[in-house]
Amino acid sequence: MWKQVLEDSNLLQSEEVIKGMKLPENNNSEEPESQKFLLNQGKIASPHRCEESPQLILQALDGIPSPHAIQSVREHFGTCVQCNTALDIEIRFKLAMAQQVTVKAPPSLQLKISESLQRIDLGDISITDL
Amino acid sequence: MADQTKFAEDAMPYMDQLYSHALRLTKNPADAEDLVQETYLKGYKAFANFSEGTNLRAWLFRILTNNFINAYRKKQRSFDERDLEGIEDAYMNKNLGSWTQHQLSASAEDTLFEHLTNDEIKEAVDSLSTPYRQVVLLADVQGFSYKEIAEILEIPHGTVMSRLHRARAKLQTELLDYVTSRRLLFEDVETGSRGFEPLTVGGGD
Repeated sequence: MWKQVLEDSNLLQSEEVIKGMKLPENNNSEEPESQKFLLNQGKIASPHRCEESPQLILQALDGIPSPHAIQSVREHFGTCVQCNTALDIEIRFKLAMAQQVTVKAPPSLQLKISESLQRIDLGDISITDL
Repeated sequence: MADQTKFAEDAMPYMDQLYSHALRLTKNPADAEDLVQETYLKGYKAFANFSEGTNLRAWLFRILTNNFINAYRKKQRSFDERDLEGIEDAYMNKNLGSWTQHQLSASAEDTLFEHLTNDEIKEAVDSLSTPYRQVVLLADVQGFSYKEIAEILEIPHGTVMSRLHRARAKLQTELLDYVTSRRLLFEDVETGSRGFEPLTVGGGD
């Protein structure tokens, strides 16, 4: 998903940059409303005004970013170097954050929780005791 | 209404994500374990009220967040959070990120990200106050949408966006300062722009 975003958004053109990245696959989250808004807008209201960029960038990067939403914002920014750079940096930062490793829960915790749930099922502890 | 006997089967696959998030919130493995265990037990108790087919992952994160607030922060509601409430809803910061304010060049941008390690980014995020940290972790690490985050944290959608914007701006400033202090980037005093300074060995002339 993320690799697709990067390729489609033309942000990271170098294969080296995305090589070896551990990126999250799609989760079961809903399609973000912000991105639907951007896509439904077609071309976002012109002309481009830099002070509106933070809002548009945030909307484009809602949830798992859609390449089309990013592209739509990029087209709106046109040749504005500052806003395009801001978008690129936000994407790269989000990407760096998405690569943060999920720390696995210790097996002892899994066991403890499974046992607690079984004890409830067996009636050893009452649900009202929780 | 969900079938309570299916709770373990449906909810256990999210344990690693919940534990990882709990660890980032509490910064302590023992507290994180307690938090996750409490989340599962409360989730089990309330599972009959969960609407099947809706987002179980977000629902579990919401329980975890509530537990975290109740158990770990009730007695010391930090004043940084009170400060936040007064200012964050007033307006979206209209400035672009700190990096672009300093006119970071494309090559410097590459250099910056090449030199930042995961640990350094993690450290910077951990330095954020809890309300900011929660939003960044839920949005960027867990990939939740702003709408889901608003439901998980029980705050308005606009507040999610303003907190995220401010958190990112603060992170950018910290990371940029960090990299600059390591002389990986130089700052042109006259123009205020930042560029890449290749590391050199020896004095040169």
